Amino acid sequence: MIYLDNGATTLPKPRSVADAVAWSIGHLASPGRGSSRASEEADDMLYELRITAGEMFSCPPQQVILTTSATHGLNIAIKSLAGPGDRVVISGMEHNAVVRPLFAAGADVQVARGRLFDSNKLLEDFDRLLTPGTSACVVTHVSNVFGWILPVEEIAALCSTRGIPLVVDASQSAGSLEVNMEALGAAFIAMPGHKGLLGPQGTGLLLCGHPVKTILEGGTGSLSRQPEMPDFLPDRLESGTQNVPGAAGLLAGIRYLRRVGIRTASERETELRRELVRQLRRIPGVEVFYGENQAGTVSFRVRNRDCVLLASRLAEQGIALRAGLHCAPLAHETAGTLETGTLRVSYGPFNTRQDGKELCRRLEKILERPEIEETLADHR
Amino acid sequence: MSMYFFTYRGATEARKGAAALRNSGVPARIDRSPVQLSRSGCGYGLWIVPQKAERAAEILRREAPYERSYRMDRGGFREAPL
Repeated sequence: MIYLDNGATTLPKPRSVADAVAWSIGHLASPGRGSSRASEEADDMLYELRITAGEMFSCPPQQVILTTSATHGLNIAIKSLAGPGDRVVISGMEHNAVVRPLFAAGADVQVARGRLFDSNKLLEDFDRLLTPGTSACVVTHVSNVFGWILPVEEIAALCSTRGIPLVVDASQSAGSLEVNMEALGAAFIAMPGHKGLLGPQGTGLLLCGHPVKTILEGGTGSLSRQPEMPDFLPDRLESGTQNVPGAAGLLAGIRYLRRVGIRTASERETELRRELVRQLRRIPGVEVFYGENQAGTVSFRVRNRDCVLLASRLAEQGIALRAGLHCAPLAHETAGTLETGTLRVSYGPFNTRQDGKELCRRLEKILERPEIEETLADHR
Repeated sequence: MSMYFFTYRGATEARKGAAALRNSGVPARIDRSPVQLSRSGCGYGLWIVPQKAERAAEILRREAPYERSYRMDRGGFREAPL
């Protein structure tokens, strides 16, 4: 299989990640729940993860919260900042992990829509909408659909001067671009552990720089006699036993990434994406969405072809990518692709030039025949 | 024979303290707080030898503030503010 869906989760993971998960299952007990060596080692490992991630993202270790996903972290962040009727400004590239919690919170959502790959227009829209009385601003660092790197530093500066808490969704940037909590002055930064950070699925991190509300309460191994949750981090947000094997794998993933270097990985993926854009544009009927400030992700669609059917045909030929709305209808609405969806290629650390070439070769082959013939052939 | 015990509410903060001490060459061992010291139930702490207690307190106040410090000897624990 040629795997081009690293925006969903990176695959394969480094061998060291699998080894760390297996080791933890055999050796580590419940952290913060006992005095045994196995329990202490589990706690040591979690602390090492907080330290390592904290160094990578310029965040104190106790403010590094273990979550199950970026979605989990975004829910905590958004529900800590926004309630019914509160005005919240978001970009036009947001994922449902942002849109749905805001809807559930009953927030008054204002969209700084901008234009795809036009950072200046987007900043103008944020500048206009970030008015006094705005409770929060939520922005994705990189669009999961189009790979557009949003001008998050400039948006952070606007928020900072106006005293508006900023939430950054780093789902597609953590591990691929520099993400700096201190420099951004963000209230929260949420990220998955299983994408750019190369950890196992079911892991994530939330960097907290703002008072939080809990969305889950329970045992923390601390202050057990009091009925309310501890008021200090990370305990306040980590009730129940943490995902120890997942955390061990995530720590191994981050260590791997630090060895390779984020910049090296990012430049490589961007170069692969550039080359793929050139190749795709040569194929008749293919519309490619590309522009300045684009990461290792690219979307395209094909005239008179259903993107999901095309993805299925490609999957049969061993090419894994993602088609449809990518859980981000707002981004498609902004780009004008809501009705058709797109096919998305997202590069990861183990892709090669040959992968993009193969995709184009097999795509051209599929496009030689009418869609109906391709579809029927599949059912014979 | 006695030991000092510096208490923390959470494991992460205690580990931060232990790391700060280790970086300064002060040996410390993390442990769960004895029940009698855990007024709110379940806590953590750092065991420090008496000779290093003053130095440890100074480092911890700066790097990872603790809740209380106790001295333990044959008579048990007694609060020993440092």
